[in-house]
Amino acid sequence: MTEITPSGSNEWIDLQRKYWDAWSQLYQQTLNSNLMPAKLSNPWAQALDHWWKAVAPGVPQENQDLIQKMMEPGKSFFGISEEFTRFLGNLSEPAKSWGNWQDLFLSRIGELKTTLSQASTEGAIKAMRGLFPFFEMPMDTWTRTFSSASPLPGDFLQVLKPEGLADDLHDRIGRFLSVPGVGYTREWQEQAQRGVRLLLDYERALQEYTQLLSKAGIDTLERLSKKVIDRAKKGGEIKSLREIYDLWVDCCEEAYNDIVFTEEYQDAYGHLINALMALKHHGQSMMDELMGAFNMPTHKGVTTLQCRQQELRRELRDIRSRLGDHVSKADLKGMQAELDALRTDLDKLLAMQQELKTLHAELGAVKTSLDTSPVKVKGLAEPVSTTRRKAPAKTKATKPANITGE
Amino acid sequence: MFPINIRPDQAFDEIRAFGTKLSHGLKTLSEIGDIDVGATEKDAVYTEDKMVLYRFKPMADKLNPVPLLIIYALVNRPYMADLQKDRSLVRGLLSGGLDVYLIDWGYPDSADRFLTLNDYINGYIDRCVDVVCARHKLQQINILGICQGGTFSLCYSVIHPDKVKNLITTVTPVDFHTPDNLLSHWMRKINVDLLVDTMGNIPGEMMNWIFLSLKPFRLLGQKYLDMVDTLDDPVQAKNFMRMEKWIFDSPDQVGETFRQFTKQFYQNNGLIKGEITIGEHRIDLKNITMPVLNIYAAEDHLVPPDASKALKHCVGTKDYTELEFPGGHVGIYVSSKAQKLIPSSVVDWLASRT
Repeated sequence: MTEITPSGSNEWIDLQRKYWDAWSQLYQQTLNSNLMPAKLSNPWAQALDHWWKAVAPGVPQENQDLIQKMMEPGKSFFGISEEFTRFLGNLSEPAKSWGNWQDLFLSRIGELKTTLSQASTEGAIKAMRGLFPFFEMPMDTWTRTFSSASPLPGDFLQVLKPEGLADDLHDRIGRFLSVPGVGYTREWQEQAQRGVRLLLDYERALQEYTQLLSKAGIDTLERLSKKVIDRAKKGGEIKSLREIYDLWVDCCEEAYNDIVFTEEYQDAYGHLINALMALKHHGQSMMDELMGAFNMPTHKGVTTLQCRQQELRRELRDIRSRLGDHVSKADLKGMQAELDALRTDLDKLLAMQQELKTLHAELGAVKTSLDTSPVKVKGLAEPVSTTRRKAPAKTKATKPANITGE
Repeated sequence: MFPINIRPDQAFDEIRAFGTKLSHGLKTLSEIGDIDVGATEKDAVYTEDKMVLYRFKPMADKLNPVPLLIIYALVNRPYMADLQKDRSLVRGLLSGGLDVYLIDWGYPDSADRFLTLNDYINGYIDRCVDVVCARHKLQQINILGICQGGTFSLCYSVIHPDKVKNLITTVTPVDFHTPDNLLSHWMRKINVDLLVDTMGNIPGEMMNWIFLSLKPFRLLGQKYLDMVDTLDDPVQAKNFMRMEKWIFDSPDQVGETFRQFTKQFYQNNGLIKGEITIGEHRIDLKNITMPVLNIYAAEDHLVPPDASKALKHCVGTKDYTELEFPGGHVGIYVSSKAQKLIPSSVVDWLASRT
């Protein structure tokens, strides 16, 4: 396991120096040929790869993704630096100091644009890959994003390259599609043919999309040349590779931004996603047929279950909510009635209590008068008995024991 | 004079320096430890399915009596509002005396595929509002919506104006067809029915791809080269890693909700036309009569300023305030500029309306 220490970085630096020496030497030899041998392309990126292979086992798993993410633009950085060094190297030293360097510079840019805009899509793609690895980023991310969602084992879409299928393959596919489905497997044949048509449509969409990106690549060169010349006119200088890289990123973003806001891009983007979805959807249907034949759960069946389950949950919640409202309203009404009855009873009790007090007072008065005048008591026997006849009747109705009982 | 003047030895030094930084950066990364997010103490006060309603622990002695409910988007995770101690909108609001609640939608799976906008807005959100109201014995609370959560907040406030005392929207799309809205431009020709019928829930990776495709060369390339330059500083490296974690921590999007949101909002631009339907409710923004504070970011590439500012002419309130933040869609929550401007503005605005 390689230790991640500053000493490790020294080894890495030594390794870089060796690559630098080798590359510089061979670069000088091939300067006039205008072609860099393929095996020597991007030596910095290769060195970075070697170094990473050596140290990766010692890097915690959670950090490996991030390092990879930093290495990719690092390699682009090296690649762009190399391409520019080579490109600028082709402008001979005297030309750089002459007044006509701009003509030579623009002429070289023009050559690159021609390479990118050549009729053959394959050629343009290769040119982009060599010169502008940046423009692979959107496509690369697209491929990675959707490869995991493929309905078939492995990722059969990997065989589709932006440059499209070979012509002879197209012919053979055309012959296959022109054969009408017959016999017992007719339906299956038709489905298979439809699948191929959708595959070809996706291939076309991928090509359209890639061609638009190559347009952005050409526009990037235009912008770069303009920025370099503008800078020269203002007397500015670019003194580091990073400045070139940042200038290049600015140009890429500007060119990309101009393309992606067009109707043409909107169509191509929509076509790309719709074509892929149609293909995947068809693949799901075919897979469902197979799964159904094995009496296995199908995608369609699971989707129906999910939909019904959600509907049931909504209904259940709705019923609970209504039931809850109903019960609470009924309870409230009952409690209100009970409260009203209790209030009425209380009022009656209070009235009776008042009457009782009055009777007590009257009784007290009678007692007092009886104590002080016994003769009169006899004479008052009738009225008193009248009072007494009435009083028990009321007392019976009020029944104090009930008050305490309640 | 030829403007590119790089000597071979300078170029070599530059590339060597890059390699050295990358090598040293490995050491920093190996020692960086766990990437912790969500800096502020909080309690779960209500859960339903995968949704959790949190209440953050209050920090001020004197609290605004009306609590604030933060409604986050379904895209990405809500800890963006509380990323780390010195980059936390939530912390700023708590320090200013607000009682803060937040809805965390969780990570939906295929069982949630048929949840609709109505389930989210009239279901989850409404029940969370009821919970907060009940806890504080109030009829109304304050709501702060973030991005798509802001759009949800607007719809909710139209349907339940009696429950919303004050409404704050941040980087919230209202007009989805402004010429500079790239996301909307891309979505117009997509067959959303086919997409959802095929994919079910929309994978978080696909959302990442869409967002990164807005600026692919900066976000997939230049950003990481910049990071190499800061790798020797563990604090900066950790801050970078937190953001990186948030960016790629993308829950899948519930299929039916994605279908409805994309078709009604992005493709038909129904919010400003008054043509959105949530359940049985038509969304007419004129029904928003409570005070509104609309905060947008001047350099927002996801929700362009004009997409947010359109709200001014749609709402029925007489108390409408706009606040421009000089930054981007994410910077409005995590930048140091934002920490000084956003929480205090929200706190003061609410204080004068409570």
